[in-house]
Amino acid sequence: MKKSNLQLQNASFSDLVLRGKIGKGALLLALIGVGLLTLSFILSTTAGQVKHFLFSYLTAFCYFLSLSLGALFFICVQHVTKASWSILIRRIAEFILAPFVVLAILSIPILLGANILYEWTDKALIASDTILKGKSAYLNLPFFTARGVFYFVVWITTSIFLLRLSLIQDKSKDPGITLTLQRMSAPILILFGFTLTFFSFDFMMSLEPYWYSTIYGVYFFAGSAVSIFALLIALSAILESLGYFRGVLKIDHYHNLGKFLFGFIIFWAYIGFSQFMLIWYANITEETVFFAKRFHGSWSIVSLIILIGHFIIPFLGLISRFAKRRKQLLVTFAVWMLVMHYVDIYWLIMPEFSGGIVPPGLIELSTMFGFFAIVVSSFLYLVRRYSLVPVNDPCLEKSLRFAELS
Amino acid sequence: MSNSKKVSLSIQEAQVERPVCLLAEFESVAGIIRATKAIKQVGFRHFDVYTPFPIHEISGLERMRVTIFRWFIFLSGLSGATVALLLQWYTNAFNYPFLVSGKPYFSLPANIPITFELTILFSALGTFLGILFFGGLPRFAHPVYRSNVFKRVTNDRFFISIDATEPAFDPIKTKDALLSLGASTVDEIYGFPPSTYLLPKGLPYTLLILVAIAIVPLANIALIRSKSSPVPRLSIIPDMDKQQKLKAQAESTLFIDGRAMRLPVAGTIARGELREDDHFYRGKINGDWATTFPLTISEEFIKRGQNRFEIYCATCHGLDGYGHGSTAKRAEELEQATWVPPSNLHDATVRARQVGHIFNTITNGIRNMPAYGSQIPVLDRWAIVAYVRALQRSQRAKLEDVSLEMRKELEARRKG
Repeated sequence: MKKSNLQLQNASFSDLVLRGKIGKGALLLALIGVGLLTLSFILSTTAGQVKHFLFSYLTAFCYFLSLSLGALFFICVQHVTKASWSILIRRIAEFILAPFVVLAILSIPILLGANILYEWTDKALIASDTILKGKSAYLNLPFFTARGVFYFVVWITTSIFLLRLSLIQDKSKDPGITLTLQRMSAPILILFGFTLTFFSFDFMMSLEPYWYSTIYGVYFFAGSAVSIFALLIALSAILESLGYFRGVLKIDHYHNLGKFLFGFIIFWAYIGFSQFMLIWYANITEETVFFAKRFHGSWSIVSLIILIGHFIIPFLGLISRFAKRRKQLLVTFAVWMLVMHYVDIYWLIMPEFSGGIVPPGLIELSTMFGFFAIVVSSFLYLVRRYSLVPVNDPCLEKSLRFAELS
Repeated sequence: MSNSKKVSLSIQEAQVERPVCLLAEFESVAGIIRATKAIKQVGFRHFDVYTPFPIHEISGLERMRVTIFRWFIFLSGLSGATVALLLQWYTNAFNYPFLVSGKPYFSLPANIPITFELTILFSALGTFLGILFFGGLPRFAHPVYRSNVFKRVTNDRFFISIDATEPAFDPIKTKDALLSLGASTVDEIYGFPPSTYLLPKGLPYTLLILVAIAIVPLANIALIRSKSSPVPRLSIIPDMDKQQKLKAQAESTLFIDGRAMRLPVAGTIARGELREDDHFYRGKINGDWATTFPLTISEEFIKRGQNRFEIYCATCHGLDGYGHGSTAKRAEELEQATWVPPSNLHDATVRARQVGHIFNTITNGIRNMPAYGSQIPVLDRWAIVAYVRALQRSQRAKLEDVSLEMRKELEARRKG
């Protein structure tokens, strides 16, 4: 039995690195992305809409960062739980760690524009406001910058650690590396929890410096967990349609990813509702300000779209085993969730820019595509060079036989 | 190792009766996996595999048949959600409308946690009861337990039982096939003799009697609740029920006047409660309502009055005194029949009222308005009166009432 599986493995993994055609566009893509971002910046400055540009920039930044954070979470959880089913697709998640480096560079404009983005940078306002004065020990630019640097140092070093060891194992076949990864993933998860939470507090929640919600970080995490499973489903399907994993990646793998996607959609709704209900019930002015902005006027439409599109539709759609085992249906829902995740991030950030709804316009589109191009190029940079599958993971065999074992 | 016990029971019966299943014993995991795969391949469906521990290869082979069971669970969950919503609507919005911090009687956000819990509870109970029902449980015994070798199933042996309901079942051929698959023994398992299906003779009667006895206390409670009795109630701990002291309103045999409590000496006044200043404490001078304040009015005093007014009075009379406070508005919304609208403080009658009279109204209440004497200290009541006067004047202010600077500004505004 073992022999036949190895043959299968050799047959389908004959070409594990993406062929040149796809990878070659990476540099060009990155240039297009940078071009798009500069163009939208120049256009918005000439139109006197720097603030609008910065807010859409932050939205796109947080969206793509949440995907990479989700990947970090996914990999560590697989190691901590010693999961073997996911080994086949783990490398895809490891490649999704690549954008951390470019996102670190792309965070510089946010820092430069912090004076426009964040109310708490206004010295005159702080002097006249007791609440902001009290918070200024934490919310000030030098400390903000230092924290930002710290988050990215943590994410980049842990990503390099996870990816590098995994790549070394491809050559050395050392099973001890798996043990090291499993051992180190637990502390990385703790670091991950704190950095993700405080990142969302600093970069997103502080847009409304008077308001705070201790569950905000968990909400952001829930969104990124939903989107990583959606992204893994979508990417696996794309790679499979390109001819990789064919015959190896079984519907059972998709089914498992689908189950996690479904579970985290419920988790997301649970957290979102927990945040809402306590604030709604207490009805205290300084707490309700967040939802007041989003539930009155035109933003209430977006809130409704999120409730229905981010929870009710995928909940009913993915609840049955039937739906999770139909690849096309599952991929459709995955793409849908990736779009809804963008709406969610948009809903978190943009109401702080404008009281009325801002329909995604040219600025949003160009920043999103700019980020998309850069992030994808960083992803392709790794995909071109390394094997799509951790070929020498000691438990890969189990992942391949997952369909029989489950 | 055939079932010797059965054979010894009655040879004739055994020959007529077909076995209900064949039980094959295997000694290794590999053996049972190979055999299960083979049986599956032949297309057998009516068979069961028993192992001391879960074997993933086998649970993968034996994919569960898709039944309506999942819809049963889904409907249980839905009925849980419905019951929860109905329950909350009935108790909180229909049977006994209960206002919680100004929220609507029936509001979805508040109901979601309960709805969520009941959905989970009903789905869980539905699953549990559904498994019992669809699995034909509880079942007191299964024929496979008649086999002696089967006892090792929780220890170190693996079994496959093939039901006689299987279309291709043939006691001899199937047995041979199982043996050829590597079974160490194959037992023919017969159903229980008919006598074992019967309940013990006394059981139905015992149950009936127990049920009848169980009704007695309930019937007794119902009986007692429906009629009155001259007999005093049972006192289990009498000295707790009847203590040697006189309770409120009880008659004393010790004092001539029969009171349990002594009255204070006539004319006794508690410290600080003398209150002989009629003007200050009751707003009266020589029996008539006072038209003057018993103290000098300062701006600070009126500000204090405003503060108290906004706390105690504004909910009904409104911040502006026109009688449109939030409580009044809410009462109008609900069309409360017994509600008397609060006075408009700018009415001619209220404006003509002496300050002493207004003070008295605050102290003792009027019509629907409760007495605030016990809640608001005397000085604060006077401050409120002063503020009410200021409020009344503010609505009919003349230009002369305003300071010189303001006057200039107002005139400038009128021109501009």
